[in-house]
Amino acid sequence: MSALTDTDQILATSSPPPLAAEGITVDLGGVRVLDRVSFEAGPGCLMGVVGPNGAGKSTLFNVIVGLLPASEGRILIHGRRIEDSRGIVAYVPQHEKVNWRLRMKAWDVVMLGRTRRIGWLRRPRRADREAVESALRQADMWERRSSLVGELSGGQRQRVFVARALAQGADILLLDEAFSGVDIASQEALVSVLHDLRDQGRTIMLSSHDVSHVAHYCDECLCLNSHICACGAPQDVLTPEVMREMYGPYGAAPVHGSGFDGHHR
Amino acid sequence: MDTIADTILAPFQYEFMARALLVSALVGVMCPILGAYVVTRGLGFMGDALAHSVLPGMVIAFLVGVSPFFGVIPTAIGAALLIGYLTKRTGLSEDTTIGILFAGMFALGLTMLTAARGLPVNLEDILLGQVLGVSSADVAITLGLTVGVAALMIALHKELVFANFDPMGAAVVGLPTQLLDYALLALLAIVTVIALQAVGIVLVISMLITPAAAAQVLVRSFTWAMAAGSLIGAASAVIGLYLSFHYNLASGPAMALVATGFFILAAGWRRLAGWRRLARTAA
Repeated sequence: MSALTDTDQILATSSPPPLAAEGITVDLGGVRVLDRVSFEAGPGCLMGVVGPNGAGKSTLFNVIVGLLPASEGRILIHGRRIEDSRGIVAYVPQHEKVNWRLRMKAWDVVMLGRTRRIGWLRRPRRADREAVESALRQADMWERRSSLVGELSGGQRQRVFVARALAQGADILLLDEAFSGVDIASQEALVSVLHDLRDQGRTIMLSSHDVSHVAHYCDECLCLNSHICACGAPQDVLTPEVMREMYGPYGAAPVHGSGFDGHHR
Repeated sequence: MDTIADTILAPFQYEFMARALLVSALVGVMCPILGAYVVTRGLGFMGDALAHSVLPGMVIAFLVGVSPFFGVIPTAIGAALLIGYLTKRTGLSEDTTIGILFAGMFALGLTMLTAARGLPVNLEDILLGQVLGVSSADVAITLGLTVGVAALMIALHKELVFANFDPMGAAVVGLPTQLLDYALLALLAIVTVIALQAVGIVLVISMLITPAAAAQVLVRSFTWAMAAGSLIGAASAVIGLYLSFHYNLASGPAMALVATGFFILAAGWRRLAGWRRLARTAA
């Protein structure tokens, strides 16, 4: 679960890890956004990705879910390529990537997670409705199933998208800027849902520009500034040296709740 | 006109009015179904541009002497796909790409129209619609296209909603989001072409946007707003046509005005409901 230094480690493992990145390098418009990023995330792991704006957090997520091809390196999902693993990985999008003018009820958003299973030209069956109900209950959003997601609080919206991931049957969840627009009170509710899922053995990766979120909530911390600065338990890796490497000489960690929510790659 | 029955039945003594009513109703039903996506995706300018950019195709069809549909449908689909492609490829903003194509194609059409003197068409009819002039063949083509587009929109509904609500999430689960996007544009092009008969190039946008927007104001969820929009659209088109028949008004503008009236009513109703809720909480 720590940064890989040699490939022997992979070979030594009997069953491949849910998520492995091997030397992911991404060049976008002549800029090296990600530089030989390698790590593994095991089952039952909540991994936080921190780094300054432009560190490549969103780019890394886009590569993992298969939206962006890596210039070099590869992603393995349970040892298989992402193209062969559709449905296993679910993505909770950044708030501003969703078209909120298209108004949907929480129930309908979670049902979107069943789209592939339902199949083209078919309508939801009983099994699909049961999966949606169970996912909404796990995410503690069952009571709000008839609310429009656009009218929910930031934290509740995130939980609806987590429920969609569950309805999809995903065992790897990625949350890009998981806490952006989520107030402190509903952070706890979101984190408690994520901890439940982790305890059931799912692999969860979330990104945040705020180191304190990751330090408080995550088991593993991946410090990214186009390359991996450090990877391991938060208390081990969030050292002053690593913080300087990520945020520069004046770079103390952004203060918790500073509210800064800039643009990311 | 003595009674309501007379008012309603009077147009049916003319065959051209019966045809016009059928085409108008179909236009009114179809436009808001695509319009729901136009409104929520902010594709209004695109719809307007599609309508204007078909003019060269229409002139060619007149020159060849075939139904305008044969010129207009390929032009509209071509323009829609070209706009989609250019926006993705050139890095120019969508409204810039649309503006270039829109103005260029419309200018080309106008030039062709003035160069080819003696065409049996009236520019005003093209711009404002002349639903009273539709032939039985036009009705048949309109009916066929409407059924086809409606069937596709229903068949692809959950995928289209996913891709338009959360394109990244849809791509992650492996939906062909680009293909769905192009499909939506092509269907939008077809519906635009159908609507041209009723409201003309200039006012197509009113049928695409206004009833769908009125429905969005009234109805909470997207799918139901689509259905409500169809009702409002059909009502606008049919009432507009009756007004034009009884008061001798141009039919396209009459339909657009009725749609606008529905929107004002919807917005007013929403306001009123808001005030009432405020009063209730204050009490």
